[in-house]
Amino acid sequence: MMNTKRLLRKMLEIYSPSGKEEKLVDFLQPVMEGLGYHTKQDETGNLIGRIGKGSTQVLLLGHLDTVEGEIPVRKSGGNIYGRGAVDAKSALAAFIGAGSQFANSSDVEVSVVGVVEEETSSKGAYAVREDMSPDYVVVGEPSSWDGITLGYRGSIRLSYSQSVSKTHRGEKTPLPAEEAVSFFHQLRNTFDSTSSGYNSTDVRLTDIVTENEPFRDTVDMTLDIRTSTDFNREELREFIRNHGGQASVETTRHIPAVRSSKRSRLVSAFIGGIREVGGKPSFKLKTGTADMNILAETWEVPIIAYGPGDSSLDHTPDEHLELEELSRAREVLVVALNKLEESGGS
Amino acid sequence: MPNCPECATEIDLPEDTIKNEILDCPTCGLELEVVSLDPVEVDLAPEEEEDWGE
Repeated sequence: MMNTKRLLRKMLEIYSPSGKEEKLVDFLQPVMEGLGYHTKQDETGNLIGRIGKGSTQVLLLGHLDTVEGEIPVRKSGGNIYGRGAVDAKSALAAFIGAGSQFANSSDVEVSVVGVVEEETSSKGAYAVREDMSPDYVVVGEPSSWDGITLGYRGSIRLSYSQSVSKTHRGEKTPLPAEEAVSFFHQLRNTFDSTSSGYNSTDVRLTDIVTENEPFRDTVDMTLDIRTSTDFNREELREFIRNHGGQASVETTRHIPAVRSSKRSRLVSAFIGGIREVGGKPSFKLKTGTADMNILAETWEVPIIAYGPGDSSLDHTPDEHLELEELSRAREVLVVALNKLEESGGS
Repeated sequence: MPNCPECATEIDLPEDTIKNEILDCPTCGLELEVVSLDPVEVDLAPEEEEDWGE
């Protein structure tokens, strides 16, 4: 039987950026079957493994994909380097290893799901939330082995486009590019928080392309808005109506912020797990966005994100994990699942 | 009955309280964790930290 550290190394050796998860599924499916999971792949490409039987349904949902940028897999000291070492193949490996301990359970069914395209469209998570109805949800993202993530900010992508004929423009009329930049600054002045962090909203200009053709001026701009829990989407719509002018302004991929309650059996189980493994638990509120937001939008059940690793290494060329963290996270998961099993889901 | 470590209010716990449960002191509002059930003991709840990550 493959141990969790070796499993992670194998998973890292299979480079799986978003949209190219198939080879990782081909590797993981027989491994999970060998550990006692009943597995299938859904139409979206997600890998679903179920183990144990019982009225309490626990979903451990990680992602199969990583961001682009392959990093040669190597061990150095107690660390393993590779794309996904932190974000988030290590969490998925810990989920698979921990869940395998519940093959004979008659009180809890553990579903370990590896979803596709978390780093881009989140289409894997959208499919899962339509098909499953768990009692407890743990999303696999780095929180460090002794941390419990309760919240992520939301996210809105805003596209601004304008194309104007030069023949209809007076000398003092602003150029489309100037209007786009002005729109960005007005939006930022209206919605950007004076503070920073989880309870703030940030407006970032991520892309702008201008074209100056003989008869037309064109601009295409993309903004990334990170939203706090009290962000009012209707106010954004009103702003666009009032300030969009002749431009085409669309918002896509609106994902609300999420903040889970600390007062749940799930959170208590993880606090207890971390303490039993010798850690001092802390709660994390993240300024990014993850699949947890998408699942929490639909499911009104206890939900957290958990996984080994330092999230400041997410998406970096130096992405690596202290392997001891992987072992501890797996232990915490086993203890937490045992506590949920003992509680019988009540 | 345990006391709030901040304001010393006696904390009356419901029968179905579980270990590691988070609750609020009814007087000062401080978040507490039930760190032991036998004997019943409470302490400060784990701290919140902000972090990057997605």
